[in-house]
Amino acid sequence: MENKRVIKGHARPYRFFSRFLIAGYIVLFIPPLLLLLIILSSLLVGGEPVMGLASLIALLVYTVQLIRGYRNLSKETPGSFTASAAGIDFTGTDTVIGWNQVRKWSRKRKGILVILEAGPYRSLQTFSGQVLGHDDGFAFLLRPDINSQDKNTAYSELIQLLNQNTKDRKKGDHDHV
Amino acid sequence: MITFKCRFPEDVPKDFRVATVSPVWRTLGLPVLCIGYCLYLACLPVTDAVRYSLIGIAILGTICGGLQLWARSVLGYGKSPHYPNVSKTADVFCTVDGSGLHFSSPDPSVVYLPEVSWDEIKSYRQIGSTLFLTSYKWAVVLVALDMDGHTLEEWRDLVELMKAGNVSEI
Repeated sequence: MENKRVIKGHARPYRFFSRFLIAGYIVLFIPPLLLLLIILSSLLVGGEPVMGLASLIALLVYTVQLIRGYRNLSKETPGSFTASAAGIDFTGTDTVIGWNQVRKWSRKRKGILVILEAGPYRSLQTFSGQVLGHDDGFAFLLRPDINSQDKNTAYSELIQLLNQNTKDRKKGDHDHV
Repeated sequence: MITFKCRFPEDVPKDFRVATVSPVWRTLGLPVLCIGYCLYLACLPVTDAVRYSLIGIAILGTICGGLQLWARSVLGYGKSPHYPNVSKTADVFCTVDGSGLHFSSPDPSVVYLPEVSWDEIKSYRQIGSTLFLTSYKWAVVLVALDMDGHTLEEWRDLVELMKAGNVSEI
């Protein structure tokens, strides 16, 4: 019976907080902020609408691009998972990540962080993505559904699955180089 | 078809890594436009309150420009470079042809990424006897080829291949 236990829940890519991440957000969000500042200064003076209008159009184009990029990314990103004895099945991606592909895991306040050997992405297999994925792993935060059971049971069941299936491996078994 | 030995240098010149993120004019173009426009408007006959607000906006624009420069440098060399198929124990070779880069090694277990298409390579720069190829994700992921012992002819062939693959010098 133990082995047939299935746990469903939400999954999302986990980003480690770093200077790198902040810099990424700055590069993404400072340009629209600057365009807003130009629009604001144009509005303040009133008589100079050309620059303000041009900035408004640029801002709209940028926003559309940003939303489109986000949609493409979220289309590829799994939103939920089903964990069973076979491994972690990321819904909608047709990939089951076997337990032997779990490099590391740890309990976080908001869920369980797993570092996977392979990513559950279909087409986001870019050169840089593959190299970084190989070196750093693919980090996902798993949050079991707590609708039917209480929070602690859902978490402990998932931890139990992780424990059972990863305990045989020695530390550093899958570290490359 | 030319085969090079791969290198995995830890220290890559910072200016090269930052240059792969974006050119300076692209980073500073919008902040300079914003500051210039605000100062221009502040010189027009406007009330003092509006003038001070415009100067305030110009200062904000300057801060934004500074933040973008900082972000550019962090994205450039905030992470140590990653190389495909890196191995401390076995040599890794890279064969270059019209379709892209093909990696091989006497120890096949180290090659996890056997092929990279030219579409994935954005730019190149030669530093000393090392040719660096960068991917679309800035200079975090690099391919470094050892040019030692290769003839000028081979270098020319490689440049032709890179031109055909839309890889530009940076």
